[in-house]
Amino acid sequence: MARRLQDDEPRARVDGMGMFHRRVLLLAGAFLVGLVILSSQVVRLSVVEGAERLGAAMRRLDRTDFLPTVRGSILDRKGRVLAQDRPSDDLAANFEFLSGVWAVRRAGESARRRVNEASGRAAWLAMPLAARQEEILRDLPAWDAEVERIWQQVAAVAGIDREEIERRLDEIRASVHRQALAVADRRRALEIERLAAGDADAPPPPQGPILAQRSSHLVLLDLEDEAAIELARLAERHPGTLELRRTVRRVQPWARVDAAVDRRDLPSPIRAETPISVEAIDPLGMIVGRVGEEVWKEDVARRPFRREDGSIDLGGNRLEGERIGRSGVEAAFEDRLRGRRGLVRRSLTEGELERVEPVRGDDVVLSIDASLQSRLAALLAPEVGLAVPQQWHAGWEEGVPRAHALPPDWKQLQGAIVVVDVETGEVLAAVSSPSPEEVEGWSPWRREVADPMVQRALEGVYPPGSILKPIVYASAVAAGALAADAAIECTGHFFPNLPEVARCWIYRERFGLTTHSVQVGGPLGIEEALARSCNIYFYEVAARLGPRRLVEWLRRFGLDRPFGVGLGWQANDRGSSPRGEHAGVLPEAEELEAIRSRGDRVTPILLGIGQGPIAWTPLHAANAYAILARGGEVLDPTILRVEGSREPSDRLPLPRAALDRALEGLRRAVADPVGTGHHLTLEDGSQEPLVSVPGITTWGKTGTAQATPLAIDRDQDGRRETRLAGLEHAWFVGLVGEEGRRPRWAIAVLLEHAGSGGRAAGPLAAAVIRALIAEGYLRGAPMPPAGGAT
Amino acid sequence: MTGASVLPWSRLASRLDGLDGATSRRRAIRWMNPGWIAAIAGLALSALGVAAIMTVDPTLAPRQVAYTAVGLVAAALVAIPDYRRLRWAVPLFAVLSLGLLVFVLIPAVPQWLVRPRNGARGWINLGVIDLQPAEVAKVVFILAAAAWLRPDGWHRRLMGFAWPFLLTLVPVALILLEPDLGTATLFLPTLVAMLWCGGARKRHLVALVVAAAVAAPLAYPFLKPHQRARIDALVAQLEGDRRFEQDIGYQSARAMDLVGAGGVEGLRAEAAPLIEHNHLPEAHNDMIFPVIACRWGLVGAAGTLGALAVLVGAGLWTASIARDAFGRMIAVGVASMLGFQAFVNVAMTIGLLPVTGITLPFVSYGGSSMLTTWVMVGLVLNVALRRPPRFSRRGVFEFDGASA
Repeated sequence: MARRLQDDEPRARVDGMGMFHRRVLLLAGAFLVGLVILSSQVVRLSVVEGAERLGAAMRRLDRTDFLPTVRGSILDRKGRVLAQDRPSDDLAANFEFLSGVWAVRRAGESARRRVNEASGRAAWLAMPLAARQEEILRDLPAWDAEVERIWQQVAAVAGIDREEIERRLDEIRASVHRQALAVADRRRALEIERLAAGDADAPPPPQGPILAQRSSHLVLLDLEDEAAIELARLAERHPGTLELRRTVRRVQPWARVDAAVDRRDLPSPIRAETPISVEAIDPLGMIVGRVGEEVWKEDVARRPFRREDGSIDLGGNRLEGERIGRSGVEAAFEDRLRGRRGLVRRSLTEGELERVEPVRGDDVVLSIDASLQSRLAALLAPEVGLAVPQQWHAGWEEGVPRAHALPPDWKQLQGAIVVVDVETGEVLAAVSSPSPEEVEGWSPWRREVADPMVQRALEGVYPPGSILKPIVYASAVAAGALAADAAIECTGHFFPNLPEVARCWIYRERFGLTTHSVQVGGPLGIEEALARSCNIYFYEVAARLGPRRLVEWLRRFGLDRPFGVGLGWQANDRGSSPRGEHAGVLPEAEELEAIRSRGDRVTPILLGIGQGPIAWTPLHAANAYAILARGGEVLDPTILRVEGSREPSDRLPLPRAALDRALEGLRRAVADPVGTGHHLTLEDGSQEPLVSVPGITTWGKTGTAQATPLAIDRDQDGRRETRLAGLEHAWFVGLVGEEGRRPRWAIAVLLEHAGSGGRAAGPLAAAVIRALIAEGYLRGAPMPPAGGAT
Repeated sequence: MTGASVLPWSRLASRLDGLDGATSRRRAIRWMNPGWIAAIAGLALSALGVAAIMTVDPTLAPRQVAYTAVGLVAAALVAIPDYRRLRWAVPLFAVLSLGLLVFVLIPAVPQWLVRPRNGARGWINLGVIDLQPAEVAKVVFILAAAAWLRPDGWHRRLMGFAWPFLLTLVPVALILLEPDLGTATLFLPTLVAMLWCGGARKRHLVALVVAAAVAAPLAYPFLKPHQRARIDALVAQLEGDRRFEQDIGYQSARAMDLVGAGGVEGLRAEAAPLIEHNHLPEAHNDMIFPVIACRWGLVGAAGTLGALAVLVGAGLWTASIARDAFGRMIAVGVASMLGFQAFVNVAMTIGLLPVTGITLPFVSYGGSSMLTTWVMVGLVLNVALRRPPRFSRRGVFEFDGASA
């Protein structure tokens, strides 16, 4: 059949095997290639990798359980337990039981049974809905009564009022209701988003009850053993109602401490023969910290439980893990406190394969004395009267009370107390008042602390005021800018032609524009200057030293530097900074340069009296005085107990002569009648010594530091329009030691906005010294025992 | 039979071929044909499937036996009427199939009728059985493509591509909207295979395949996140990166471990607890192959692959002896679709392809897919039963205008 092939006719027509067959064969060949690929992969998996994969699959037959560990405790310097794990038996109730749904369900079951028994097996199903509901409602009261009976039994066994339990149940119901509303709002918003986006593929948001409505809630915590057993039996008798849970709870025995404050040595207006009992609320809370129940993604990222190579870090964090420290020492020492979980690996076929015992967490011992801390916190309670505005703070002018800079109905003064061990640098106490727990009850129109969680002793920054003076002097002498025995004239005002600028505090109308030189009868030495707190002396010293050198020396005394006392570190853009501390404020090089270039001559000398662009924390203050006491050795403060001795991190070349003179000045400030820290003047003009404790020497400095104006919301309209100016912070910082001996403890006391350092902070400092004696840190002359912390 | 002279001895041969003696009738039934091989392979695979399902979930096994029985009956029913009679019904089938596909996508349809499963709306609840429009579409597609790919030359031109291509895109798009990526990906390769055997020019096909290969990565951004994640996981796994093994690559990793664990001989009775504790997902349907490989080892796996190969081979053999283009295309279509489906399913369980949701024909649990697979085998049997006698096949099957 030879003919011309048409254009579109397949050439292969004339071959023996048609094009079609060839193509089918090629297709078959393609499938064969696929078969070969599949087969070779299967062979590779089962023959080449077979053993390894079998191993991997078999390993999954193993079951690994983790054994919990016991978290280490936090102790104070005397071994008192500040935070500890304790197992506790708790009673939880199913939400359905609480909300009444359980009763309805039981009523439904019983109604159905009743109807079926009476009228035959399918009677219930045959009934119309309304009739069924009626039957259920008939049975419901009996079940409600049963619920009530169960709660009565719980109340009886646990020894708690039925009303108390009902209150707790109401709290739970309200909280779950709030959650449900919030979730419903959120679901509605999500649904709107979903429909608006037209994204039909996104799964619709879940409907139905929220998790809180399906789970159990804790009703009673920390039951007694017998009560727990009894309630467990009760729970078993009524399934679906109650649940006994055994959990480990972190307890803080020193969270609430009753302290009795001896009032016999307080200033006479608040003196009393009997001690007053004060409940110190959470005096250690911000230092010890809290433990959180949930592990966050950041924690897992920091120390994952399952490392990248698949191995397990038994001390690591996992999202479904246990508690983790969130603040304070609990967080800072998480790794040490936590210990390590154990594990047990069991195989389905062979039993126990591997066992690693859990390792108990280590304890952390603080340098803080919990009893002392509680006593000091109690001193700051408003009931005692030391930390509330008193007329003697402002004083009287010829019988007429002077106005306090704070409004008359100001309820409480915020404050801080720090006690540092001179020898080791350990912090014995660091009290901040009020504690965050107490902040709730404060009057709303006051300026609340910008952050109620500020630990004022460690984090609160304030201008030092006069208490910086001995430091300035010591720095100037060490730098060679001043002779140790320099005598400087107090002229009342520093600049000869400017009587209104840079004045001494005594150069005022009401004192008759006098000067210290007039009072002393000549130029003052450092002892007099410190005792009387002459400003001009220190303006001169600052002028001679110069602001640049002064700032450098202040840095060496610990300012503008974080100590890392032990509350942990947090990462920031400069690397990391300590948590819970403030480094203080000093002028930077640019600022000093700006001061110089604009010809400002006032600011540099203001630094000499602790005003101007400078601020520090009470901890800095105590630490700086401790350096003086040590003769220039720098030991950064720490809240951890120090075992053995510590090497100083720096030795400031402070001449002995200067130090002795400065200490003498500080001693006179308290012991001499002319000293600013010597006495308190009362309404009738009589004077009471501020610190008179037999057998104890106090080297102290008062300070009245000008504070920035305060903005408060006086009329409670939500805006802080009222500004209070002319406020001053009251400082009293010093050293105490037994008579005839070197200083042992450095104390810093601060009362915010209280006014005069001597009058406001002085009595408080005296009370601190007595507290140290009561706790045995100082041996004064024998005294009848005062109250104690329980 | 145009122009062919009937030699004397061919009459004898045709008598041997046909039991009914009506050798001159075009509609003679040839009882000896490769279609039975396909059916037997299918039966063997079904039995293997039941045994494998017994290993992982014995409660499902009786149902699978029932599905197989229903499938056999369906295959028989499909094989009885001459397939050429079906041809006139193809447009009707096409309309019905598209209608069903659109039906499941209508949002207004209540959930008791179209229950979403795993986020996909692909099943119509008929009470006793669930009907999957995508499965129906598979069979109808083969019939439609076979009917319309006329071997009269027009599809050898590039323009002729447009029509079958569009023919394919409509059901594929509808299935993708469900979403059911796995089933949708079977259509194009089947079409290519049918075009290939139907005589399309090589260069056109190559261009199409190249275009698809280039376009596929461009579609990556349009994929849904979980689909993208699966591809990422596969790439990672091939690179030896074990990151995804605990989440999105989990299924694949477990499957491969179980296949490997089977070794050469298989773990027999110990396979069941191993599979259970390794938490192989979808062990009774998508991942049935690792179950077989785990229990019966390389031997079992080879047997399965072999049976599948025999199935595809029987289909292609049927195609090569079919009497007309329609029958040829049906056989090629069925063989290709089942072959691709099997390839993709096995490949995904052994880590060569990303995990998609398609089942292994005959072996995986599922009534809907069992039914359509048996219907497809029934079609092949139908074609095979009506093959022309051996010696009258010469030259007829090329692309002459008068083919039936």
